[in-house]
Amino acid sequence: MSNQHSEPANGIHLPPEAGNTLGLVDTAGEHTPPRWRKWLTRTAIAALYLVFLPFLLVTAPAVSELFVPRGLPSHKMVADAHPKRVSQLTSAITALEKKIERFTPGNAFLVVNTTENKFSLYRNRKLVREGLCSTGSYISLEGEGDKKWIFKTPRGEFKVRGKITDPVWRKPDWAFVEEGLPIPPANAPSRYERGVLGEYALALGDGYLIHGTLYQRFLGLPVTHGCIRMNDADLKEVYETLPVGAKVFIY
Amino acid sequence: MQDTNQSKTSKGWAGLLFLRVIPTLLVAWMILYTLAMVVSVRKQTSHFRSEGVNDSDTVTWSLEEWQLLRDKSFLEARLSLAGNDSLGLTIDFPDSTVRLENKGVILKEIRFKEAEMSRFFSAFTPAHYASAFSRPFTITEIEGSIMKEPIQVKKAPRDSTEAAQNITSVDTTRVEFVEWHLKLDSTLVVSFVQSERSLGSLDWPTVKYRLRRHYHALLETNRALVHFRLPEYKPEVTIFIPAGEAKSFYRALPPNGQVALKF
Repeated sequence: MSNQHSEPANGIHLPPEAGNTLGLVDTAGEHTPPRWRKWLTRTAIAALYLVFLPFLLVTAPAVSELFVPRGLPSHKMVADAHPKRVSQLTSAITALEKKIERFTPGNAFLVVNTTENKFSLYRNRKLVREGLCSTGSYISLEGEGDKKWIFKTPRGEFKVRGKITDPVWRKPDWAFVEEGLPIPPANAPSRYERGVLGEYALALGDGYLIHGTLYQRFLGLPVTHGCIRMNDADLKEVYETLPVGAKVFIY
Repeated sequence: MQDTNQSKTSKGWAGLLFLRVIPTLLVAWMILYTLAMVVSVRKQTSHFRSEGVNDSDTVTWSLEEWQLLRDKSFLEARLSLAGNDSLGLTIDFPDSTVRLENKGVILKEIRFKEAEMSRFFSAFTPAHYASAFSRPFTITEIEGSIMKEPIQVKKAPRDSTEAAQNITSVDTTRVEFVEWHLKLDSTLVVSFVQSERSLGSLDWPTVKYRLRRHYHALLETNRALVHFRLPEYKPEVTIFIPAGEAKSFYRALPPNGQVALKF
């Protein structure tokens, strides 16, 4: 629409912006939505852009779940309990429970949680002692060349392979590498240390031990090179309770 | 004048694209997506129901028998789990317990107070339930916001002086937000989220984990739709347990472990 005043044929003057002012007629003479409606449309479109992904992730799955057919029979549909079938089920359950119970060792066993650094000692299927311990630090020590050691406590089912009193620690190579010292020959006297493993040790195989520690303030933290450390009192009870051959579950 | 006209035309095209065409496509996609999900849910339910079960024997069970059947199925699954060498998880929803088991020995047991469950898990009739849940499920994916093995690499010191300077200390103040999930037989999802909402804010690893999970879900579903296939519906249960316990279970479970479920 032109901004200049023009003389209409019928002689009536209209302001040039009349169409826009009224919000009814645009330059092309078409119907124009009011400003609030335009604003509302654009807000709705902006909202659509925003909710698109959350809709696909949350709303669509939630809506679809409403269409899951219910499977539970209603009370009206259910017949009375069939005594024979109930007794068959009950005896099957009893037999299964017995079978599963047989898996749990009747004698003493130890469970070690390496994440929380806690242990639980069981005897006759009852918990007799629990407490803090220290397990592997998950440090990967990289030495010269390809030499590499990962200090983690192995997980799984183990057996007590031997019990030792007043154990002597034979320092492995990593103990020297970790201290920045040269590695001595296999049977060098500098490899042997007394009194650092506590009064008792239980061997689990592959050099892993359950033993005592001088660093009792670290109990409950993952600080060891793979062995399981306990305080003196706990170690004594574990040593006295677990016979050779007893199971140790580490997870 | 020509420039103004050109700019008006391009503005018109952009407006048409962003205010008309794309919104219309988005709405159409949302409707299609929802419809496909609904069909997928129903298909998955009927698939679970049809596995080796004759439909005719479903409504004559009493509630007592129903309960006994659930107990029996769970025990059968646990027995099968006990025959396996690796660690397994057993989740008993009526009893609100999660257990870590190794060859039938319960290593850890905790009770949970809160859980959220898809309606899918109540869609079973007794016979279907017995068929689906009397065996353990195998873990096909396990992923979480924390590291499974928090390995720290340390270079060996060159001498004893450097060793004395490099004493590693354990950070006891660090709090991680614990959240993880298991995919079972590629069809069911069990999620564990720490129950302490106030302990540890949503840290970057958790945000990354959630984004990764949602991204995969979106990608899989959209890819299926583009190829005119039904998206895969994976019913989910979420269990809220203390952070320490959630971490222990996550780190203990092996990648191909097994899980027995009771609903």
